[in-house]
Amino acid sequence: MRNDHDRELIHRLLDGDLAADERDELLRRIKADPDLAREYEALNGPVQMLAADGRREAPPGFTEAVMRRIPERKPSLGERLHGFLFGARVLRWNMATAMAGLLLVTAALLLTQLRDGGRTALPTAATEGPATVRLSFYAPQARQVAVAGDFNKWAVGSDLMERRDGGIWTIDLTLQPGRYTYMFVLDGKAWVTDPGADSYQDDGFGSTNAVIKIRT
Amino acid sequence: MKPSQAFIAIAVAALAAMAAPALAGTPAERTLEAVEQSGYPLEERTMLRQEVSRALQAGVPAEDLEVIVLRGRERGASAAAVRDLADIAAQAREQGLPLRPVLDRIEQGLAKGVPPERITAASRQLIGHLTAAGPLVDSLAKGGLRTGSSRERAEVIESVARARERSVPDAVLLKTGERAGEHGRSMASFDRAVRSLTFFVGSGMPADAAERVIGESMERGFTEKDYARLERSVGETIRRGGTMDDAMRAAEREIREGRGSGEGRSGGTQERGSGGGKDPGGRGGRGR
Repeated sequence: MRNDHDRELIHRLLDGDLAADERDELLRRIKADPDLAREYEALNGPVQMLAADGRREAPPGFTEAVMRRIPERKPSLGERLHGFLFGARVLRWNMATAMAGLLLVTAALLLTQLRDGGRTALPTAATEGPATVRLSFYAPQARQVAVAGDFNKWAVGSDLMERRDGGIWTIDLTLQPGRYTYMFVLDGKAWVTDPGADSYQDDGFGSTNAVIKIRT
Repeated sequence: MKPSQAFIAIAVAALAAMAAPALAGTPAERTLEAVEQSGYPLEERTMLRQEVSRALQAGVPAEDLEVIVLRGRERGASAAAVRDLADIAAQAREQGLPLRPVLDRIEQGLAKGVPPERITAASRQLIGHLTAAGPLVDSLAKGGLRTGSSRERAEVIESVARARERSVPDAVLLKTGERAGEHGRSMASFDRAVRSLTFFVGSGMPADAAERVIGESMERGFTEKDYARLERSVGETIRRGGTMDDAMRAAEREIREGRGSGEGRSGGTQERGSGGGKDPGGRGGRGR
C-alpha cells in the first residue's frame, strides 16, 4: 500500500503541480514499482476518460437548481438581530433624487419660518406644565423687536426677539396654560399688532392686542 | 493671587450674589423705596406713599405697584396721577373684583404711553363693568350654566365686562348665557362665546345678529379653534372691504360648512411701519 505521501504526489502529478524534476523522479518510481504503477493508473484512468469526453458547459440554471436543493440553514434569532443592526446596507441614489430631496427639505424649512404669524408650538411636556410657543414677526427694517404682554407686565425691554435670516424676528416664550395678550414693539416705540394671531382683543385704548391661548 | 485666595474671592462673590435679593428687602419695601426714589417733591411723595401703603394693605401685589410707580415716573406722570392709579387698584381689590384685568389695563396703558388721565378713566370704566358683570354671571350660574372654578368665574366676569365695554347689551349676554345653559355648556364655553360675541359687535355687527351667530355656534358645539376660525372669517371679510351683510354670510357659511377660511392665508407677516398692525385704529410710533 502506497503511503499517503505517494498518493498526494500522484494527485499533484495529475494536477500538473509538480516541478519538472519531481515529476521525472515520480515517473521513474512508477515505472519501477508495480504497486505504485497500479495506484497511478487507478487515479489517472478517470482523468483520461473525462479529458477524452471533452469539456461540457453546464446547462442554464444549473447553479441555481443545485443551490435550491441545498437545505437552507435558518439563522438563529441572535444572528438575525445582529444582521439587522450591524449588517451593511447599500443606498442607491442619483443626482436627481438627491436634489429633489434637498429641495423638499429647504421648502419645508422655509414654510415653517414664513408661516403666517410664524407661530410654532414646540413640543411640550404633558398636560399641566408650562408650554413653549414661538412668536415670529417679519420686520426687516427694525433694529430691535420686543414682545410685550400681560405675561411680562407689558415691559418693553424684557423679552427681546432674535433676528434671523430674511428679516424675521423670533422669540420662544415659556408660559403656563392660559390666555395671554401681547403686541410687538419695534425699536422701543412702535406698537404693532401681530397680524398672524389666532384672535384679537381690544386693549381699552383703541388699539388691538393679539391673543394667544396656551392649552392644557 | 494664590489659588486659595482666588477661591475665597470667588466664594465671597457667589455668596454676595445669592444674598443680594434678600439684602434688597421685601417686595413691599422695594415698592416703597421706589416711591422714595421717584424724585417727586416731598409732599407729593408722602401722599403717594400713603396710597401705595393702602393698596399694599388691601392686597394689591407689590410687584404690580412697583411697576405702576416706576413706569408712571418714567412716563412723566405726576405723583397725583400715579396715586390715582394705585387708588383704582386698591378699590378693585377692596370690592372683591377680579384684580388682574384692572392691573393689566393700568400697566398696559403706561407702557403704551397713554396719558394717565385716560388710563384712569378707562380703568374706572372697567371697574364699573366688572361690578355689573359679577351678578349677571352669578344669575346665569343659578339658572343652569355649569359652574367651574373660581378662576373660571373671574375669567367669565372679565369677558362679560369687556363685552359691556363694547356695548353688548346685558339682554344679549343673558340670552347667550341661557342658551349655553340649555345646551349644557360650561362656564368656560360661555366665556369663549362671549369673547366672540364681543369681537363681532366690536367689528360692527348688530348685537342681535351676533347673538344669533353665536347661538348657532354653541348649538354645534364650537370649540376654541372653531370660534377663532369664525372670528378670522368675519375679520377678513371686513378687512377686504366687505359689508356687514357679507361678514354675516361668511359667518353663517363658516358655521354650516365648518370650513376654515383662515387657512391658506399668505405666509409671512408684514411690517406695517409705525402705524400698527392690521388694526386701523392702532397707535404706533408713540414717542417714549
